[in-house]
Parts: sequence; C-alpha cells; structure tokens
Amino acid sequence: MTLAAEPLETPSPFTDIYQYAWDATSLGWLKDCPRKYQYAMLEGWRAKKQAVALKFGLHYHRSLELYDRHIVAGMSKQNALREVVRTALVETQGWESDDTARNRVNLIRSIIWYIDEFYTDPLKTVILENGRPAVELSFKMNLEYKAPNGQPYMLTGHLDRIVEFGNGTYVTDRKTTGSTVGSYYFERFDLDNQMSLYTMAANVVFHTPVKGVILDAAQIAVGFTRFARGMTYRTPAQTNEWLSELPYWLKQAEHFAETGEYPMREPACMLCQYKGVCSKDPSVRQRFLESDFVREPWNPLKVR
Amino acid sequence: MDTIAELFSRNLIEQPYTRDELDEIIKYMRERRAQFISGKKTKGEPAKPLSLEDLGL
Repeated sequence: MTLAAEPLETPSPFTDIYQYAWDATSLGWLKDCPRKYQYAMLEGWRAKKQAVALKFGLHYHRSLELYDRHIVAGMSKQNALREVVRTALVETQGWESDDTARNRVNLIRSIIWYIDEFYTDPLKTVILENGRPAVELSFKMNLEYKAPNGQPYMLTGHLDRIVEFGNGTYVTDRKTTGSTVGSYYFERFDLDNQMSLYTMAANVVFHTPVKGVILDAAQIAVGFTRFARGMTYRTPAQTNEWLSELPYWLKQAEHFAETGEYPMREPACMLCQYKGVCSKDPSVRQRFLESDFVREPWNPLKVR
Repeated sequence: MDTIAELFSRNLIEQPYTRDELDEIIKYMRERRAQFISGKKTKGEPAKPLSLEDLGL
C-alpha cells in the first residue's frame, strides 16, 4: 500500500504507521468501513465525479466565509458581495467542469443567491471570550489517548460560525447537495459524526455551550440553486457518548495499521463509491481505481 | 460592455473585471433568481433522488 503524498507545507496526519490527527471526514470513513478508509484516507482515491463536487463545495464554502469576514470587518453587503464574486471568478478561472450542475457559472450563481437568500439573516454571530467574533474557527484538540508510539491523538475541524438564534446557541454549517433539500435530507444529520464533533468542539474548545448545528443546505441543480435551513440537536449526554466511544475507533485504526489489513464491511457497500472496485477480483482492483478515480489526498491538518 | 458569456470566459490576468462588470454579473444572476422564484425556471425539473455524494460517500 502507498500512502498518499501531501504538500510540504502541511504536516502529515500520520506518525509512523498511525494516524494521529483525525477530522470528522476521516473518522467517518473509518467508522463506515475499513476498506473505505484505506482507499479514501490512506491512498487518497476520489471518484472523478466526487472530485468535482469537492472542488465546487470548497469554493462555495470559501467564498461565503470570505463574505462573513468582510461583513465582520465592517464592509457593506453590496461591496462584500462584489469582492466575493471577484475573488471566486479569479480563483476558478480556467476550471472546465464536465458537470452540468457543479460548474463555474453555477458556483457564482449559488454564491449570489445564497447571500440574497439570507440577506436579512436572524442568526447573530457570538462574540467569544477573547472579544473576537466566532467565525471561521479552525480547531485542533489534543486528546488524552495516545497512539502506541506515544503520540497523543488529536481531533481537528473547522466551524463556519457560532451563532445565537432564538433562545439557543448553535454552530452553523453549509452543505451543497444534488438532491432535494427537505426534512428527509436533514434527518441524516441527527446521527452524523461531523455534527457531533462540531457540537463537542464548540463546547470544549471555544467554551461556548451549543445545542447543536444549524445547517444551510443548497441544492445545486442545472437551472437553479434552492436553499433550506435545518437543525440537528445534541444533548450533553449525547456528545459525551460520542466522545467516550472514540477510543474504540482509534484502537480499531491502530489494529488495522499494525496488521496492514483493511477488511470490507459488506453491509455498508450498497451506497459506497468504491463498490465498483471492491466487487471486482482482487487482482484487477488497482486497475479500476486508476481508471475511475483520481488521487486527491485528504489531510485533517490542512486548513481549508 | 461584454456579454455575460464573454465576461465568464475572459482572461482575468490580461483584463481584470471592472466594478461595473461585476455588478452586471450580479444583476444577471439576480434576474435569474427572480425568474426562478416566480416559477418560470422550475417547470420540467423533477426532484433528484439521493446520490452517493449526498450521503457523504
């Protein structure tokens, strides 16, 4: 097995054979299926279509964060919008997407429509104990658990914003999707690894007890972008439960790393992007990976 | 002024956008949104079933 290469400026999330820095994405792969974790995290394979979705989501996310930053700095909404559109166009120049929905024009459309949709947003940004607004909060949280080589484990992530809404405080997160954004879409987040981690991080790292996460979902279609806002809640007991189960999963990862064996978990195969690879004879899987996937390493330590 | 298609295909190193051109792009997208909200653009676009990426896979 070859570990995916990483740019020099970002430290590796691995020490020896052990992954010590974990974010919600890599932990989710591990929990889903060891083989999926091997392909996605250790080897960095992405389905070509997923690579387009990731790029679209990255620019969408970054643009709206930039907008938040301009607003916090006192810029007018119209000027902030203009600057965000300019930056997004410059950063995506030359991007030739073969996806009819997730492409450069629809990215710009989605940014402008989102800002107009939530122009009079009732969410109020929290001011942290240090006096700074709670926007763009990257976190690295050291755990008391250590890898067998003595390296402490770390949880990482990035919160868009912490806000006050009604009589509660919440983390916010933005999602893009190709499907309809209704109650069925939001239900999945009630048992979502990322939302549990974000709730815990707001409580522990930023000393801001939150009730859960407010999700702004954008359905990216060929001719329109539709928005919906949903919520997912976590009680302190639920967050503690999530954290207390973490060592079990880290031990699992240690075992896989030490044996070099990443078994398939068949019940998770139906909706998995690697189904078309795992279903082939082991002797030809590498060829299928190389033809249908691209290598885009994932690093939980990379600031996005 | 260039058309919207020309603005999107422009080489931005050779010719950066002016403020008016960016406002033109924003205005164009807002007009499309107004059309969408009024229902003109939604006809014939059925809801899509869940995909793998929607499930984070």
